[in-house]
Amino acid sequence: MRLTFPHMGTLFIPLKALFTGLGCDVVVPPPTSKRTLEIGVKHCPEFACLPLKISVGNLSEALDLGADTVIMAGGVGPCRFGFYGELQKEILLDMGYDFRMVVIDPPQGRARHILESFKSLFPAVTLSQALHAARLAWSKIVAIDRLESLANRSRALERERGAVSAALGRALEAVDAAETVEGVWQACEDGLAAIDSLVDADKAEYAAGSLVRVAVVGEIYVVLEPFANHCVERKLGELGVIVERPLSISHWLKLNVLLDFLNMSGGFRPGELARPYLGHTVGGHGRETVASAVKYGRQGYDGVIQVAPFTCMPEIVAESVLHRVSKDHGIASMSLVVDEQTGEAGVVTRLEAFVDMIRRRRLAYGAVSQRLTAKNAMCYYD
Amino acid sequence: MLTIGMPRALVHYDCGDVWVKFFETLGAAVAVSPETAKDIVDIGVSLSVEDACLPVKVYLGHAAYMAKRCDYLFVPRLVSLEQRTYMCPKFLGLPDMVRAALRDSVRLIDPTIDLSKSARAMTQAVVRAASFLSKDPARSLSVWRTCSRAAAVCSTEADGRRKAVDCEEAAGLRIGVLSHPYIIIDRVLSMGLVDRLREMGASAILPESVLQDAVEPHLAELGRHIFWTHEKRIYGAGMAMASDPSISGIIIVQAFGCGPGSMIYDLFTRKCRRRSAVPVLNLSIDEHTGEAGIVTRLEAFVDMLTRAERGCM
Ligand code: SF4
Ligand code: SF4
Repeated sequence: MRLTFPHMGTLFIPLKALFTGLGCDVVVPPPTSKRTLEIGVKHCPEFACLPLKISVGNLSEALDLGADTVIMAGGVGPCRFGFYGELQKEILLDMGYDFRMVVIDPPQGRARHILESFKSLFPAVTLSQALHAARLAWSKIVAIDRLESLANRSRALERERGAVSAALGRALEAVDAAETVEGVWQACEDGLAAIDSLVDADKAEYAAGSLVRVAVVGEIYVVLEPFANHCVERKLGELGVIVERPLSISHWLKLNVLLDFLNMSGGFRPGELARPYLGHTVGGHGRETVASAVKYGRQGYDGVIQVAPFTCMPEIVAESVLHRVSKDHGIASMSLVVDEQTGEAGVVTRLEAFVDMIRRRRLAYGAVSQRLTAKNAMCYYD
Repeated sequence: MLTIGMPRALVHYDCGDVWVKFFETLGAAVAVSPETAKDIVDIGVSLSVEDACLPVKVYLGHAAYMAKRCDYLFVPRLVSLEQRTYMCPKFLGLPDMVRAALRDSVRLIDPTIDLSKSARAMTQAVVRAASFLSKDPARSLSVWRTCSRAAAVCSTEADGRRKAVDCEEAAGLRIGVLSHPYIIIDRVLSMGLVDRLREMGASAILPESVLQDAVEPHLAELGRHIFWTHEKRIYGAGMAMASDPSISGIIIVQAFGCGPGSMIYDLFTRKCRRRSAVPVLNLSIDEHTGEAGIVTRLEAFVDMLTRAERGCM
């Protein structure tokens, strides 16, 4: 069995570790490129969301490299993700590929179900092997999240443009190469130290807390996939912005898969935070987007950027109410809707304009924390 | 007397009639917005985020129209009508989108209707929706039962059969039209497609008029459960039409950027192509769609079907 799966940012690192540990031959699709997207656009329905198009391109490229089994997460709706597997299968069949498609449905809160579905897939694997593989994959997930999160907070302070991103890239490679949990932690610590060493800790602005802070939220795929979001985190960082990105692979697993039996919501209650603006889940991460905007607004962040694929239903609902959060909590908001036509230059222009606007606003009204006390300043946001 | 306003769009076509009866029986005046017109579309477009689909924009237009003409606006949050099956996420966030677009200028009645886990959730929705009209939940419920029973008789199976009989007898070319009820019944959204077909001597067969017995096998055959109510019906009915020799062609009418539609119409087109030679025309509509272009394509399609039909005979 030669196994493959679509890309989503750095997700291939833990997935590769997991499936290799389960005794599979893993074919990681070539890094997502323009060509990948072109394949997807050519064969997917026009109004499909961008993640579907890119994933079909990934899978096609991996099947070309000799993969024979596709593994995909399932879902129960109401967002389109739950139907991805079915459509990917039909599209790839029509493209002439011969392969097996395995869709792993969400366990509905039960660890046993995940274990069972994995067991039927990998009958030869012992429990201890499986646990070992899962531990290694999990350590990689945690390491990646820590590294990316530190990089997002450090780019604004780097002494040399691009140094943090380069160090992050090297650290991720080391995490990918590590074969033991200890090796992963070592690579992680080394990477964190390397990123730290690039930061100009004396930067006066830093001490004064005057750097612009922005949270990047939205649909999980385009948030985690730099190819789809045109490296929005890096671009913001290099514009001198401290970036916070609540969505990550570990966050997603905690919220969707492990939550029920480990009770690990970490105090983030999207339902409560979003309620005044959005009274129900809307599939995908629509409600989390709104809840995060509230959360970061309360914490005094300057802005929130919603990244969403064109036609994404949950994010369209979120986008429709975001301006109210923005107004109530004094946090500037911007929606970056991406599809195959989105150009790099357009994204750069919009990000620059957004950050400029925040800076001007800061000059005129002070930081958000000060502004919040002066209620009447709020009309500015209308 | 209190006036309850109802936007004639989107969710109204799924459950509007029952609620009109219900509120009227409880003693409220109910006003439903008029049929979609250009000004309603324009208001809706101006109130929506750009990438919303046209049916949602039109809904907001109707809501804005009614907001000035009622005490309460009825915007149900229709989550699910049956187990494991949901409406489009935009239905799930509809009351919130209306509030945001209208800036709280009107009070909403927005019961959550979620029958995905249990049908009893309806009770709660009914009692809550009626709470400002009647302090007596038992009465609300009994009124609801009467109304919904009456509605059930005329809408579901019986109606389906009646429509099916109508369709059997329909003269001329029989063309399947796959679309959402709120698009096809709305003459502006669908650009009068059904009437136009009739003028061209063809009759439109809608997904609702295909009997459940004909739909089921196609859904069962598909390995995966379709978890959207309308799309489930559309897919099953479409496949049934594709294997019905009396149907000469199929027209898909989808909103530009429709999420569930993008998946299901594509799946349908692929499966249909593998099994049957029935021609399929795919139309998409948004606020920029020119009527002329649609009409030209429609005429060409019907012409082709007519010629094919004659050729066979
Ligand atoms: S969340 Fe949006 S982009 Fe992602 S699968 Fe669902 S509809 Fe598509
Ligand atoms: S099903 Fe399609 S047309 Fe209907 S509301 Fe959802 S996206 Fe719009």
